[in-house]
Amino acid sequence: MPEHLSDELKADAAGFVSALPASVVMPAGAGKTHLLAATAKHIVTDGRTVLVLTHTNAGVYAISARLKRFGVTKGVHVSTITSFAFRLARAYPVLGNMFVPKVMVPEDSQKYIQAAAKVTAAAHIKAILAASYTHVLVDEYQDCNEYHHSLVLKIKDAIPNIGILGDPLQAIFGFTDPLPAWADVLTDFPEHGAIEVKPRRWVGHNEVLGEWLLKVRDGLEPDHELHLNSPNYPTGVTFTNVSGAPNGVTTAALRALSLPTAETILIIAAQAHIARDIAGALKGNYTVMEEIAGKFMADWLAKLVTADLARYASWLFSFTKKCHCGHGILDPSPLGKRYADGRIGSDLLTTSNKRAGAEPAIEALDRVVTNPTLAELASADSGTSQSFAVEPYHDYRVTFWAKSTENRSLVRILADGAVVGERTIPANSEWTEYTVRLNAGTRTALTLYVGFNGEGTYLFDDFSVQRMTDAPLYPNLVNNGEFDAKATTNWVVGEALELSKDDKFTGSASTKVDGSDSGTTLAQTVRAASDTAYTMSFWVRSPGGTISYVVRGANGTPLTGPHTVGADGGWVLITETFSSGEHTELTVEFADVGQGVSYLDSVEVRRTVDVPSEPTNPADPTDLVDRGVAL
Amino acid sequence: MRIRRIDIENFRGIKSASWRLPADRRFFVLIGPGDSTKTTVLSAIERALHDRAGLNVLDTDFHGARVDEPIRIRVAIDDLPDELIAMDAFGGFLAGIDDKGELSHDPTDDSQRCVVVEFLVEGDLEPVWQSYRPPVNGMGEEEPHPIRARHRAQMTAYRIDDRVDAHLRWSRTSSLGKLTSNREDTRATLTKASRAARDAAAEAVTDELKALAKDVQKQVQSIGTTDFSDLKPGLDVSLTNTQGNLALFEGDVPLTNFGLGTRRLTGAATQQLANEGTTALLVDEVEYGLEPHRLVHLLRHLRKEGTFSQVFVTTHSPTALLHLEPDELVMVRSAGGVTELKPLDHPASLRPLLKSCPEAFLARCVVINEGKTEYGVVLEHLDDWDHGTNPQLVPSAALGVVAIEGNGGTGSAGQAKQFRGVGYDVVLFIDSDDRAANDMVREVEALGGTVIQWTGGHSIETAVCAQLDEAGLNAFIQAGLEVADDEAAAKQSFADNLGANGAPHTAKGADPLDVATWGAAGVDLAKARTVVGMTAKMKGWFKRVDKGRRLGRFILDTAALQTGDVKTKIDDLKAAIYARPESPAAEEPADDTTDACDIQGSALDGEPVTPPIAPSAGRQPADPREGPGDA
Repeated sequence: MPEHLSDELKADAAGFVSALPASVVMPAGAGKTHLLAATAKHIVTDGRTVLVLTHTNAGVYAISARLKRFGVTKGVHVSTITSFAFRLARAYPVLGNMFVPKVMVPEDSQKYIQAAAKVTAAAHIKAILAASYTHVLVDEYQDCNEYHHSLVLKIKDAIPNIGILGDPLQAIFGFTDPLPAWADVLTDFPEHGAIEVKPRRWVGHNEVLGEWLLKVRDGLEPDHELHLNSPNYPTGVTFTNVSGAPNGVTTAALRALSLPTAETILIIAAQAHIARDIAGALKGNYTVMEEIAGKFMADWLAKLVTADLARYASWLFSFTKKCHCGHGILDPSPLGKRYADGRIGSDLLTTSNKRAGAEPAIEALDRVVTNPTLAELASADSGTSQSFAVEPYHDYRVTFWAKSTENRSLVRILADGAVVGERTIPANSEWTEYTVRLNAGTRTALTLYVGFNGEGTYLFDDFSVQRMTDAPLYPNLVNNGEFDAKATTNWVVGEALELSKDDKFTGSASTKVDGSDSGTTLAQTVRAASDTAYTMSFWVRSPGGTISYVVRGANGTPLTGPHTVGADGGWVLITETFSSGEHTELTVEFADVGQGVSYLDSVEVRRTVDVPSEPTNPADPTDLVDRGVAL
Repeated sequence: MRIRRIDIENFRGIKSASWRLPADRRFFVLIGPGDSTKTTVLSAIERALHDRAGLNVLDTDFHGARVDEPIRIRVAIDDLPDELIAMDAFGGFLAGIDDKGELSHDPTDDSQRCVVVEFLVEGDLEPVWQSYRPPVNGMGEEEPHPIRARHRAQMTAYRIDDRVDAHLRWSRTSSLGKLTSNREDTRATLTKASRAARDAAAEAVTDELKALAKDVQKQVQSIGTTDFSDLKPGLDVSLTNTQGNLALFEGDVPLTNFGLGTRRLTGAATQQLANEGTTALLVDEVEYGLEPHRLVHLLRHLRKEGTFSQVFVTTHSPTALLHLEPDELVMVRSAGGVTELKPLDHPASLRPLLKSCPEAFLARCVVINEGKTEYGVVLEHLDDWDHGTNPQLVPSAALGVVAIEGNGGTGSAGQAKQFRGVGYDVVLFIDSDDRAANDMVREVEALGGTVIQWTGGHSIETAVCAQLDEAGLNAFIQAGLEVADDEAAAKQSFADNLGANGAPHTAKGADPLDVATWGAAGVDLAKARTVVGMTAKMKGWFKRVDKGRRLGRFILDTAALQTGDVKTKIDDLKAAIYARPESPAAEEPADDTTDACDIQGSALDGEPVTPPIAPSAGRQPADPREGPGDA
């Protein structure tokens, strides 16, 4: 269900639309994105179309997410100004007088903007824009430099209904490029003052802080003063001057962690390396947010540019290890060394099966060795993967539809580099639904890997991962508890037992314990965790006999039982819950203590689900990681 | 929407073709001899603008069935609606087209914006529809964009052919179906109708469909089909599938049982209603199945503004041509696999000819005779050569030869130039006694036309007389008298006119009608030849087609004319008329593409030679949305 828009917001949106071209100035936290999305919704609800421009991909994402929340799915195109300009400039190189490459070069952003302005000046392009959008909304206008501004003015010639939103006080760009005077902006986009500014971000949550933030804003205006040492802070706001103190920030940050509150703490540093230094000093108590400049990718691609052809495979190997999950089985040596030496690695597959699951990757790397071209490199990296979080010991079902031409393709589910499930899409297959069912085991994340085996077209659709169980299902520690293998497999038996294929509870057989051979025992020892609750269960049918059962610790200490069961005509489920205590080995033991015949089946020992897990250690720092964020 | 240019490569009989359509015309009549690839041009348009995802392409659709050269059909369309120039349609890859049909990468102020749809099929027989723009110097390859079926459907070309019956039924893809979906909710209406029809065949058709059938009736009548009085939907039990059981009925007879002409017209009518003036209509052999009066009515209808955005018809019907204007004609010629489509240079000057001898426009070879005399002479010779005692193996008609009566010396030469210019083989049979005409004759020869002209300043009469003795001249005079309207009166006027031109007077004992008597009166044979020849020419003794035929018979039957210049020229004429067009197989070199350029770049247009289609940008991968998964 789309989020309900308040009548006030709807009215604000409608008022803004009818005032276009116009501008709205809103401070941070006053609901600018909300207003923008509501305005877009108002426009598309009228059956018209709107282009929403902003500066960053993060902004595009935020706006798109808000539109989705508002139930707006059609009629809106959200883009950064640069990528919109790139698209126009690339489409019309003659009009823009610029040859634009296929892939955007960030350093050339300004050139794209200027070329797009020339393109937009052409009558045909104006017609295209007018045919595409009835309205334009530009967010974060304070970050528009003069080139952005003149592009927007050119667009305005084609689409007069332009609304701009911004806050001159929040300009974060513009340190190098000249910004248009806000007063000039206002002549083209008269200020729409009808919207009341409220600290909406703080509604129902630290409202006093919100009010105060709005108020101190005045002090930031030109020719005003902001006094941080003022005694008039609202509750919750304190000012500590740490300048001059070498560890001032870290001390304050650590102190903040001890506050009895569940708030998030944000540390803002002027530069990335300072943030990293602070985070380092905080010893992992805070999370460092990723840099946004894409330095990692740029560095690696720069390496590729200068790399010798013979180094391509080695580069790809290292790059893959660096940036993809689930390639743990690609070992640095000898496999990595093979590629470093410019040799192929697939022969290692024949000598050892420890790289099972990595065959597509190794084959692709080998192709780069034998044919070191960028095209081959790109195709080798075309196997695609995605990780998803899982809860341990739950059953999951991965389903997807696929079809393929020519060559077969492979879909694998990897955990820590090992294949835990896979489906092969046969060559030349029609749309088929595939299902992989698996238990997450101890893992908290799995990787879905789609590998392509050479040329051909593969189509995938509707990948979905579903958790199939409400509670975790811990694995059965007992091997051959079903007795479907030989009765003696995995079990230590005192006397010969026989499999009873006729009288089984599940699977293909149960084991038959004949009371005439009194003294028969059946035992299996399994590894377990200490101080953990376990449940032992089995099905038994004893038409005449009696069975005793017991679970013992390492030194023979009974942890549960011994108990007996017998003289019952039908199949009965017996369960015993116990704690492993200090023991890490458990022995399940059955003994025939009667005269008649009994049948055993489905012997299980599993961790108990409904008992609370281990007590947490309050000093455990992992508990705190989520509380701190260092920027 | 308007097709402005069509480029074809390797499609069926066309190795290459480039047709630039004038922007101010919407009705095009393609004419040309058999195998001149007229129909292929229509098929090319139909395929490039095919409105659904898939299309069955066969090896034999490739030129010479050689699948290693891709089929490439490019159709440039301008005057696009807003919906199609929007950024989410073609807005990112519009090209420019100038008045001459020259394409440019960007639409500029000097050009119209257009989309160039490229239909590309390579050896895998998977058709791809993508955009094309001519490369910009220094920019590298243009990246094609897929042109989706839903967009093509808005510029589709509808073809009336033998499969027209499908459009007389209500189905998802028929024009009746589309028409219904435009006006009603198709599924509801059709389902309701079909279900009702199943229940009670005749009585149960919904009112909506009945009303719609009446609309069709009206439209059908305006296009000149049978005068239907009771057109209504009915259940056609001849089909077993579930779709399309509902068909148009006239009374109790399904329209699919009517004659082909009626069905074709009705198909056109429903198509026109369904597409409301936006679609190109393709009619192969427009006369097919129609009586002359219905044909004329249909042509008149198709030429009206506001029916279809453009109409392309082919015809072999003189009746059709008789009711067309010369500027509507496009001459289609194929040589060496290169198809040329050309309009007439000075159509107005050929209007009288089109009205008097439309057959000429349907010929391969036009024998243009200076006047009635030559026309008659040639007709008589053709009869003799085709059906006489020693007939030609292939009669002239089968060779596509049509003789026409020209319009005097310069007039005939002018006609010859125009016909030759648009690709006809031309034989110009003309006197050599008109200096102005002689200059134009050289131009005709330079264009590759054959000119039959008497040696040295002769007309046909003087050329014949120059080889006759006295008896022969007398026979010539007798032949003239024979075909005179009033032989008695003619004797007097012949005598007077001969006398006035230098024949001896009766006073000198000579008979002006008996050349044998002239010598004694001082007029020698040489002078007598001149006198008789000049008089015959000036007084038009043979200047009527039947009289010309008499002269032709005279030439055939006179021994003295089986030699000398007359014999030479008549033989030349015969050779030119019966020259066999080169067989297509001989015209198509097995592997040589330069041949196409040579022919195209011949002296016909004097323009620099460029292949009509620039080297390929790579093909776009198939759009998964158009794949079978979409079906």
